[in-house]
Amino acid sequence: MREIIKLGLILLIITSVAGLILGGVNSMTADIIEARALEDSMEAIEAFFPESDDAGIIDDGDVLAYDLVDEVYEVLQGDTVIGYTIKTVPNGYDGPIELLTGISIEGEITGIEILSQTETPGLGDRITNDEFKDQFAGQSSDEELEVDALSGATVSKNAVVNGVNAATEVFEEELRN
Amino acid sequence: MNMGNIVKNGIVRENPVFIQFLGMCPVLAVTGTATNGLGMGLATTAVLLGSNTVIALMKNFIPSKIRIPSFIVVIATFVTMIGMVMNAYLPDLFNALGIFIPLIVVNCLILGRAESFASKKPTGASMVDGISMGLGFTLALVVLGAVRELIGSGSIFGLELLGEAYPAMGIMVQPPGAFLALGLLTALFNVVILKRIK
Amino acid sequence: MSDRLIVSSSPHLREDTSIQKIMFDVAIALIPATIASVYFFRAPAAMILLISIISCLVTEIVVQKIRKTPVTIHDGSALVTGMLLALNLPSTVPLWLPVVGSVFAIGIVKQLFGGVGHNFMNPALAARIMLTISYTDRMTGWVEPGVDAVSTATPLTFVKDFTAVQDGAPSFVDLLIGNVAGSMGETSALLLIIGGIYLVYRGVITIKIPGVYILTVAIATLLYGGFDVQYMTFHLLSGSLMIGAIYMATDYASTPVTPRGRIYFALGCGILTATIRLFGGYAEGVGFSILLMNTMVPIIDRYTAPKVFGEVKKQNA
Repeated sequence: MREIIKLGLILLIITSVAGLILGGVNSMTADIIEARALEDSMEAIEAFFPESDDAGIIDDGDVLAYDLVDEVYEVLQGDTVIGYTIKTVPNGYDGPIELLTGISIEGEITGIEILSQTETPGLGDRITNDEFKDQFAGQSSDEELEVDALSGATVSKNAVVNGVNAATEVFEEELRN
Repeated sequence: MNMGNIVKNGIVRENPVFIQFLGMCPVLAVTGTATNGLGMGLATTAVLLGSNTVIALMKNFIPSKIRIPSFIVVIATFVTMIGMVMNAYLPDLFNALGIFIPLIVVNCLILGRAESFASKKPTGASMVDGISMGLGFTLALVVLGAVRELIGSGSIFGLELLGEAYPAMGIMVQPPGAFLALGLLTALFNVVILKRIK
Repeated sequence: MSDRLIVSSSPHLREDTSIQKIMFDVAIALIPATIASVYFFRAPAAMILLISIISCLVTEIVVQKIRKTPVTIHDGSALVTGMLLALNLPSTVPLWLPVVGSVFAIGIVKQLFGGVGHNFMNPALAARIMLTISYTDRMTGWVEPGVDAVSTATPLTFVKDFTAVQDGAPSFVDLLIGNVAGSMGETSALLLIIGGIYLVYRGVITIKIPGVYILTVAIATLLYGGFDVQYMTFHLLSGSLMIGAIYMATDYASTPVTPRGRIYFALGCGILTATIRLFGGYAEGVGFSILLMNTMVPIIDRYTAPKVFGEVKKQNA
């Protein structure tokens, strides 16, 4: 009995020290991680809407209830809304893909950006190539997307198309006035 | 304890991948590119150095009955720390390695060195062992990643080497290619390097 | 060397006196389909055949020289692998592709595991799947038979995701004689069956594996199509079912040795093929099915081994 208590105490000490250290590291890095994620989104939003001055997260349950939709940003120029940037998380070949879609208030896709993905290197990860991403810009949000096939990476391509479709759907049904 | 021998053991004679076949999960899963191999190798090296050092320091404090849970707690702490630091400062690499960072905890190479080396040997030797085993692991991952990336997408470390006309052999960057490349490289390692040492 | 113990998986007794005879019979059986492929797909088909056979033979020689084992290209197994590989390719592939396939088939799948009789997968089929995974676009460049090489879809696309044959599908006559798009040697069901009958007649293969395999696919597609015989026949005659069932699922080294095991093997191939064709993402599932079942062979052999005379059930120790 005494031995069990002793062993338990030693493990308690070890795990407490480990917990303290991890807590410390977490408090040091958490802000950086969050800031960086936001910065990535902001950079993409600026690329979608070069004339924008500001963007803010929309915290609306109806909008976020849509499939795949993760975050929605309202892009502002002065006080007028000039478009939206919608973060969707479709499932790729090898895990979720985090994807931003910029849609102007007139209903034109202004661009897409892949924030994170784990697709097969050399095949599926070609969705991050500019030639692939650029074909989305300029398409209309109320028409069917036209995207060239990526040979050997159909699943990855379809995942991106699904993500963009989810974004246009939420835009058409909730955000467009 | 001869430090030179420990280094040689870790990198060549007892190479964790080509000789001991330890930690096969990351070896096979993340070596689609040389960059990912390097990142995974260095992350593992950092964990190995940290865990070997701490475990060697604490070996008289930890009763042998609870050594395995204690080792795992130490290893998991280092892995979580490295995961957070990577996420904060090397986000691209963190995204690419994804789920395999937390899985370093169960990489049997790390627990293996804790059990067979760090819990028995002096702290200095354990640190050297951690670094050299880690570098041996990194070396194997980089070579494997480079070979797969070169054949499978025509580049090394993202540098296009073989040009547009090269028909990339897609299977090499997919899971079956990992097994093929590992088998062929192990054979090569045995023929070329081990013969020379003996 | 002779005093060393050689450890290998079962079967330990392999009859190799007649490899040559068997292999040349298989080659003869493949000749009608080969001639048809050259007739339908013209000069490119002939080039691919030639390159594929030569590179298989050269790879075999080179690997055996490196391994310092006797060169055995006269046994004809590399020739058969070369022919089968070429017949499994579309006629539009670039000419380096059969070379890559041959090196993989002979060098890796066959010789690395110990040469003829030791390969655990069918070399030609493993190479075909490797090439399909690696070079999907080149391996699906199907064209219509004839001089013009008009690209088109294979017959299987007319039944993929449908429960009846769609309009515009090729006629059964075309499917039988091979006047359809597809890999060079798999288009003509009739000529492949004729070769198969020759092999059965010569005692090289038994009807068991191809029979059970094709019957399983027939039953599955008949049920799925709601007893539509036309739909079932279309499934049986198109794609690589015939060449797979007759020439590749009957490979000696990579199929079970026990008669009962062979039936389970063929049944598994048939179920997998039907599953992939009817519910999977690919239009064709023959290649994957046979390779998957190849890997199951040691287990099948283990559980279907006949009881040795006098063997007693193990007592509880």
